[in-house]
Formats: sequence, C-alpha cells, structure tokens
Amino acid sequence: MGSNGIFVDVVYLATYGFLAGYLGYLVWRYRRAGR
Amino acid sequence: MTRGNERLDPWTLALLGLGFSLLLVGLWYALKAPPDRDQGYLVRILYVHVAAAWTGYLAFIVAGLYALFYLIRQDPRYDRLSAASAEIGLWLSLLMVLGGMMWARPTWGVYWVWEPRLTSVAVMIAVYAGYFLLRQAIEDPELRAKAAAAVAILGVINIPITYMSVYWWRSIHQTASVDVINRKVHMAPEMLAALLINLVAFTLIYLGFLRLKGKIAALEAEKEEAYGF
Repeated sequence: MGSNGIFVDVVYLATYGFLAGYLGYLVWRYRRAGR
Repeated sequence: MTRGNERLDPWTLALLGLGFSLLLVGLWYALKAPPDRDQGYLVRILYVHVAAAWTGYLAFIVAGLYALFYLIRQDPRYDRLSAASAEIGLWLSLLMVLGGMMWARPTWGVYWVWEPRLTSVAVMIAVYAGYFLLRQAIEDPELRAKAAAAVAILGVINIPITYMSVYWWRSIHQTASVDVINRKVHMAPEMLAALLINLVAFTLIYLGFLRLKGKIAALEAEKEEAYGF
C-alpha cells in the first residue's frame, strides 16, 4: 500500500467511527426523549 | 411512563443489525478486492466514498419526498421524517467529502479543487446546511415546516446536477465506475462486489437511522406538546 495507506486508514476509521458514533448518539437521544 | 425503557422496534433493530453486519462483510470484500492498475490499494477508498455519496443522495431525495407529502397532507410526521432524512444526508455527504479529500490528496496532489463535481457537492452541502439554519430561525412550527419543505424539495435539484457534473463538464474528477446512465461497469467483479455490499450496508444503516431519528423527533414533539418545552 506504500505511504498512501494512511489516507485509506483515515477514511475507514472516520467512516466506522462516524456510523458507530452517530448510532450511539441517536440511542442516547432516544432514551432521553423517552424519559 | 415506560417509554424511556422501550426497546427499539424490531424493524429498526433488524435494519441496523443487518446493516452493521454487512459493513463488516463489505470491509472483508474491500480487503480481498485486487488493487487498481494505476492507484494500487488507494482504490479501497472508493468502496466507502461512493457508498456514502449514493446514500447521501438517497437521503436528500427521501427528504424531498417527505417534504412533498407534508405539503400535500399537512401531517407534522412527514416534516419530522423529512428533517431526519436531510440530517442523515448531510452527515453522509460530509463523510463522502472527507473520503474524497483523502483520495484527492495522493492522486491529484491537492485536498480540494474547485472543479465541477466538487463545486456542485459544495453547493449541495451549503443548501442543506442552510435548510437547518432556516429550521432554527423560524419559531412557528407550521411556517417552519412549510419553508423547510420548500427548501427540501428545491434541494433535490442539486442531486442530478451533482451526479451528472462529471459528464456535463469533464474535469479532474473521474466519471462513475458504475455508470447507471450508459449501463456500464468499469471495474473488476471483485471490486464491484465490495462496492455493492458496502452500498447495501450503508442503505440499511441509513434506513435504520431514519426510523430511529423519526421516532426521537416524534417523542420530542409529544413531550413539547405535553410540557411545553
């Protein structure tokens, strides 16, 4: 992959981080809204 | 009141569970897919960049459709779903832009260039950022919903312009690897499999997020009506 691998890693980390983080945020909002 | 302890409905759980599981399968396929002749393994960015772009477009189109339903039926539920879809679409588009920038730097030498595709994406994002500023600025719920619906419907015009920009004004951004206009696929079958699995995963996750976000908005509206906050 050479030195460009960092760009691929950043994209995948950001993607999975965003999707998991947004899910966590929505679940938190859901619980708070239901209280 | 037991709403807070309510579990998520089975459909939302199924969409999210299947979507996130498929995302792992998509990663496996992305790692297995061969390197590109010119770009090597940098091509792996494509599998999430394109999936985020397509689901972002889908989210904006759905936001426009719900906005249209709202104007026809005047049911606040449609306004909530329109806003929910637009929010998810905005996040997915920002993710798509980040992926694109990370791809552009090693291939084009710059993170950003004002060429037609990137410019039309920037306009699209600005429109939906404006959509949320507008929602914040108007207090009257009915007026807010109507104004937001107008922006969400007009915003859909951006989608074909953005999609077709690489064909109408040829520039540095490559044309589609899966060309739905001319029905041609410009990639190896293993690459196409990785892309399609990621695309299905993103779509299921988007639908799960939409259901969840719609439910949150409904609970918050119910609370606002009951307690006035």
